[in-house]
Amino acid sequence: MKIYVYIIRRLILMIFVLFGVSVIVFVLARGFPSALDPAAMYITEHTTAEQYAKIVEDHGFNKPLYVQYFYWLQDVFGGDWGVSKWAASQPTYKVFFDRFPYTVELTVVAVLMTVAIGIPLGIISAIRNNKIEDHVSRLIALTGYSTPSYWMGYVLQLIFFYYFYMWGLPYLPNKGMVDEFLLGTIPRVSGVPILDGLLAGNLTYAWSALVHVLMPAFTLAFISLGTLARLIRASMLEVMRQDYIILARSKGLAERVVIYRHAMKNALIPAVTLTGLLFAGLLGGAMITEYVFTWPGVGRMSLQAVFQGDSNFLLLYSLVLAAIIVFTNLVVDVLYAFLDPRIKY
Amino acid sequence: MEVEKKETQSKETIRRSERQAFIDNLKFSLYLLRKNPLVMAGILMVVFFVVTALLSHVLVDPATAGVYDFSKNYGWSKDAWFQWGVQARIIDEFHVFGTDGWGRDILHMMILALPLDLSIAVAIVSGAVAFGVCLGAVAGFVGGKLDEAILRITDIFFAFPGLVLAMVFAAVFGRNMVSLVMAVLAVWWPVYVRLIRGQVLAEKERAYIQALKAAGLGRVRILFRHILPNTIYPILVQATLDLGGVILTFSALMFLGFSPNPAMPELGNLASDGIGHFFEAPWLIVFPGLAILTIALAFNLLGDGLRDVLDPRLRR
Amino acid sequence: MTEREVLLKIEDLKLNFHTYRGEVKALNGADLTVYRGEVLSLVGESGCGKSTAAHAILGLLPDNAYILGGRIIFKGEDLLKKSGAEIREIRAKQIAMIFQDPMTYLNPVLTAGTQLREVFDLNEDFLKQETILSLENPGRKPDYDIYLTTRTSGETAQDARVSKGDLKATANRLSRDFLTLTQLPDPERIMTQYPHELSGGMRQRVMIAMALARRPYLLIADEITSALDVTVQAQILQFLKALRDKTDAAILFITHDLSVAAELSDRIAVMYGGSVVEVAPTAELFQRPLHPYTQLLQKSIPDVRKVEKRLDSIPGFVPDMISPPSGCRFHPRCPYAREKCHLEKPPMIEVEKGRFVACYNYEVQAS
Repeated sequence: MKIYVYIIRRLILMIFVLFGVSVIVFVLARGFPSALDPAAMYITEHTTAEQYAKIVEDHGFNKPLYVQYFYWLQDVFGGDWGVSKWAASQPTYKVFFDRFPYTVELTVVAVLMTVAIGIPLGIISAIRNNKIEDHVSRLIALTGYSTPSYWMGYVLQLIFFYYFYMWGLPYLPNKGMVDEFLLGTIPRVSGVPILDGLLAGNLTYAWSALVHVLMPAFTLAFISLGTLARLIRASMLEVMRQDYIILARSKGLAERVVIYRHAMKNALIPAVTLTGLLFAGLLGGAMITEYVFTWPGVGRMSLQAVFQGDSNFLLLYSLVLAAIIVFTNLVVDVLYAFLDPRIKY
Repeated sequence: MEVEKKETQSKETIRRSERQAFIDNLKFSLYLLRKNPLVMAGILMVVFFVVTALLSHVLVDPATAGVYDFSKNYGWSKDAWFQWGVQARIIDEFHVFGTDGWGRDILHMMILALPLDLSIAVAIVSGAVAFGVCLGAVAGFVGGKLDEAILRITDIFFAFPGLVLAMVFAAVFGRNMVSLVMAVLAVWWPVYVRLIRGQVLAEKERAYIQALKAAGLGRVRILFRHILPNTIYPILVQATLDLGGVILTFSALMFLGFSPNPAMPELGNLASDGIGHFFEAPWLIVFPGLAILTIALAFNLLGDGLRDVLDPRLRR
Repeated sequence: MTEREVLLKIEDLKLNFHTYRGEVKALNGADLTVYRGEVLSLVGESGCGKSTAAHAILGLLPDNAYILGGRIIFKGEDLLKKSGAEIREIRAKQIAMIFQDPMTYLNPVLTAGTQLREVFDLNEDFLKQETILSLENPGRKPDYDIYLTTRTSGETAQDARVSKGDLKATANRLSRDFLTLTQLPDPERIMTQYPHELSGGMRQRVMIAMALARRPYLLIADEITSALDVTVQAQILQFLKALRDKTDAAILFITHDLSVAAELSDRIAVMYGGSVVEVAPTAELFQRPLHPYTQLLQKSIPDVRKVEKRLDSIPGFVPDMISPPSGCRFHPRCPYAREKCHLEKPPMIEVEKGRFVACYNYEVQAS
């Protein structure tokens, strides 16, 4: 019973946090009109001074900040998130949710790669503790962690796109999420390109989508696998020192069985939670990678939003992603309780 | 009188044994450090970078390096010369890492950028640590409503995705160094609050703290002279790791275009020059990026090694 | 009286641990003999090396342990010379160890049943045989007497084919049976529970069941009651006493509590500073302790019946195993120490039939 209370408490906390985030972003984005003009989204080069004044009056940009916030809250609860100019003045939520699945695709593939490479790397590191394999694995993990994402992105493009092309090898594309001539050839169901391609039975589309996502996902994965590998390593080392491992060996079990049946189950529990957090973090943090690969996701949009002063988009973006982050934290904590039989709420 | 003398004597013995214990601990830590080749590599790299940074103005004369020689064009235009590690055919200068759009030698610029990047990193991390640790220590120690309030505020900052906060902050407060430093600080401080709060909470319940309280020691004194020194190790580890992370973040901001001065020698800024022309002149991004990578790697190796050494569970 | 068969013989075992602070000379030429079917207690204070010796038998030493010399002979073969696979065979079927703290020695994420059934995975022939027997004779009662006897090497499985499902069912049944053997109520339920859901005493019985399930020649009980509270301790001891009469396995019972050893064992071996200093049948050890250490130990056990002013203790300090005393490690605290005792460690001699001492104050009596 207590676990439901816990969940409800966390959800209430989530609402509080979201308010906090919205206030901070609002204050920053609208509170300094000299730096970021809140009316920027509604004007063009041809706007006259009178039209400008009218726009300011209509939207209440000249009112005190807390009043503006209140208006914004009203709008938001009515479903109106404002307008984003550079996407042909479309409503902001459409701009966001049109592109959100692309970021999701990128993140999911990146997380899969991270797990596929990071977990074995961590296990090897732990089993061969302080031997050469350990040092090499740690070096790889730490290098990944220290790599600037734009550097990795560009280097990958240099090799697999540019040089491979120069050398006549099959090359990976460096822009967008599908080949341009394929855009719009299939119905949009989920918005995730690979998924939609498979659902429509159009394997060319799906393949093209897969090929496009490889480099950007790998860039993200390379950076993240360090944390995961290190966590697994530490966790495994800790577990292997436990007394129950000695007991398992004393039963005459082969070392492989000891590792896979006894040690790993214990060691992987924190990894599950980390993977969840990784997913949430990558969703919001892929902006540079999206920029470098011209990936039409929300990260790239947020960059443009900052430069263009699009406070509407920034608010929506921050709130959606903050909600995902907080919610993922909650899910991960609850999951931990399920996975580790020792924890009772 | 006798009793007082005994008291001072025993205090003296306690202090002496404390010092001895501290020295023993230190020796053990150094022993563990020496055993780990990766950490030693990290230490060497950090030392190398710091020394280079300190000597930067000796190695490269900023006056000549920063000169915009506009007779030298972008290295990639077909009419001009490529300056890629070989003697340029016309100009008899040797640029190991190539030149940038203004004809400045990239290696020189990187060396000049080093002290800037390192000192910014130190500034940001110190600020984050100072701020975060104060808040966190108070939160953990005092508890109650203050603790709740600080925790909630920290939660809000934790919920921000990626660089958004830093970017918006920078966009709003202008492209000057101070606001950029503050922008990155705003993203990095919450970690320390949580870290130290957890430590303080755990330490508070330890038996020796109860004993000190029973002996009548004041709360402030307990916090500063006993709890904090024992909780400092994870902070140290995190700060070292963060030195690398902060450089990555800060240079990323510069890369995206937030720099106050496009000609400023800063690693991310140098890299941003290459964005439009990457395939023809990859060296603009590759080498400064590589420098950032190695600096961050050095700090990460160091921090990771420190973490292994200072983890009380791995010390035997 | 026929000569009893020697099951395990530790000869002059020397072992060091390599640590940051120096070499810990944990075992300094330990000698120990265990006969088939007997209960031998190994007593000594913390740090004297008794647990280390036990772990050495099964090859469960940590990475920083180095064996410098000596032999461990089990059924005629030196265990120290065996390969990893051979040692695992022995662990699975011939020597079983029960550990001290059942909380940390049981895997928290696996149920008691899973951990118990694992034992049968490695004892395929036993499993197969039981399966065949129960298929031939469904509804037969579990034969606890057989369970408690050591397997004899003649028991090879017949060629009859048995399905995996049957084997699994037998494993479950046997697990239940062995849990019943250790006097645990409701074994079905316990098998589905996780270690933290069981009490300390129950966990310890699960560990005992895991050891008995292998039907070993030798059971090593390493301070199995030290982590339990006194009432539970008494229960386990009761159980062990009943067990020792019914099983033909030898029990090596390690403890620091002399009185517990007295209740349970046929013979007692006293360890000090890394080697065995005296071995004798239980009653004789208490009536007439030979080694000075044993004598002082016995004197220091408080007797409820007598009114005493101070507790007797053994003067001096526990030896520092990194720079231990030379020669006989007890000599700094020994009231009878002589010149010789500083120089060389006294060898273990049989002073009378069945009584061994390592002390220069005694000589072999002409028989």
